[in-house]
Amino acid sequence: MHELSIAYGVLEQIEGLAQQHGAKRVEEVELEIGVLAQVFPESLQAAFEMVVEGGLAHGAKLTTVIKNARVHCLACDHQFESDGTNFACPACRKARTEVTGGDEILLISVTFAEEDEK
Amino acid sequence: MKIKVVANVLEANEARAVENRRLLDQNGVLCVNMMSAPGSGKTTLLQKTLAALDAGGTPSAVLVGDLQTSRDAERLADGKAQIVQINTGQGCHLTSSQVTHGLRELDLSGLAFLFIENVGNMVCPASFDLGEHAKVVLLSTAEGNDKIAKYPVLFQQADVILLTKVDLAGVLEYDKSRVYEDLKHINTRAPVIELSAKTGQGVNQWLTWLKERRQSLKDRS
Repeated sequence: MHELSIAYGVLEQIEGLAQQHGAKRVEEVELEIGVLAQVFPESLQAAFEMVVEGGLAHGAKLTTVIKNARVHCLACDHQFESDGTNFACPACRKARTEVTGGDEILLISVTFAEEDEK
Repeated sequence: MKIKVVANVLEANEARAVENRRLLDQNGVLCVNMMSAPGSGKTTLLQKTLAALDAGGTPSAVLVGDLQTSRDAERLADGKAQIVQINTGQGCHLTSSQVTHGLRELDLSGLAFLFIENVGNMVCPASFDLGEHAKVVLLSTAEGNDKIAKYPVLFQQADVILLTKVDLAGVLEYDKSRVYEDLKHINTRAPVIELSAKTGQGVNQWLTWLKERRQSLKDRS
C-alpha cells in the first residue's frame, strides 16, 4: 500500500546518482527488498512506472528480489531466516525472537545508458 | 554503465526516527506506537488511559494519525493531555517526519508518556519506524481470532498485544485459544493483556506495563 512512497524514494536516489555521474538516462534499477517491508513487487512496478514517467528513468527496467527476514532467537540464541509468516525458532520452537534484518529496501545497482549510444 | 550502490531507500525515514527517539530520550518521555485495524478501540482505550494518567498527575500527550478529520483528537481533548492531530491525506501510515512535525508542537519538558495513535491499518505502519520505544498492537474480539496469522509482520513486532473488547467475547462466542495458538508461531515475547476499555478489565495491567516500560527507559539513561 505504501509502494508509491517507496517508488519516490527510489527515484530520488537514482536522480542523485545520475547527477553525480553525469548520466542522462537510466536503463535498469535493481532493488533488494526484505520480506518484512511488505512490498508487493507488482504494485511497486506500477508505482515506479508512474513516478519515472517522462523523466530520466522513463522506460527503465525494474528488477526486484525479495529477501527473507533474519531472526535471532532470544531463548536459545539461534539465528535463522523467516519468510515472514512464521517466526518460531526452528531449533527450540519458541517464538521469543527479535528480527535483525529483513525490513530494508535496498537500491543495489543502477545501470545508466552509455553516452555514445545516443 | 552499471553502478553498484547498496543504499537504503527508506534511509531518510530511519534517520528521522533515530532523531525523534533521541529527543524523546533526552526528555525522559516514553513513546509508544499504537497500531491496529480501524475500529479496534485505540481511541477509546486512550481516553481511559489519559483519564487515569491525569488522575495520577502524570503528564501525557497524543499524536493522532488519521487520513482525514480531527474527530479522534476532539474525543481525546477533554483532559489535560496535549493532543496533536496529524492528517496523512492519502497516506496509509505515519512517517517519522510527520512525527517530527508533531513533536515540534508539543511541550516535551516534564512529559511522561507520548502515545502515537497510528493510522488504522495492519500492513504499512509495521514497516515504518517512527522513533518510538515500544510498539503496541491492538486486536479486538470483534475482528475475529484469525488476524495474527493473517498479519504476522505486525504481530511479530509487538512489545505488548492488547486483546480489546473482551467484554464482547461471550456474545461473539470468541475462541481466544486460537489467538494464543497462533502467537506460538509469531510472538511469545510480548505479553498479551485481555482488556475492555468499557468495563475496565485489564486497564490497570496496561497502565502497569506502561509505567514499567517508562521506568526501564529512565533506568537506562
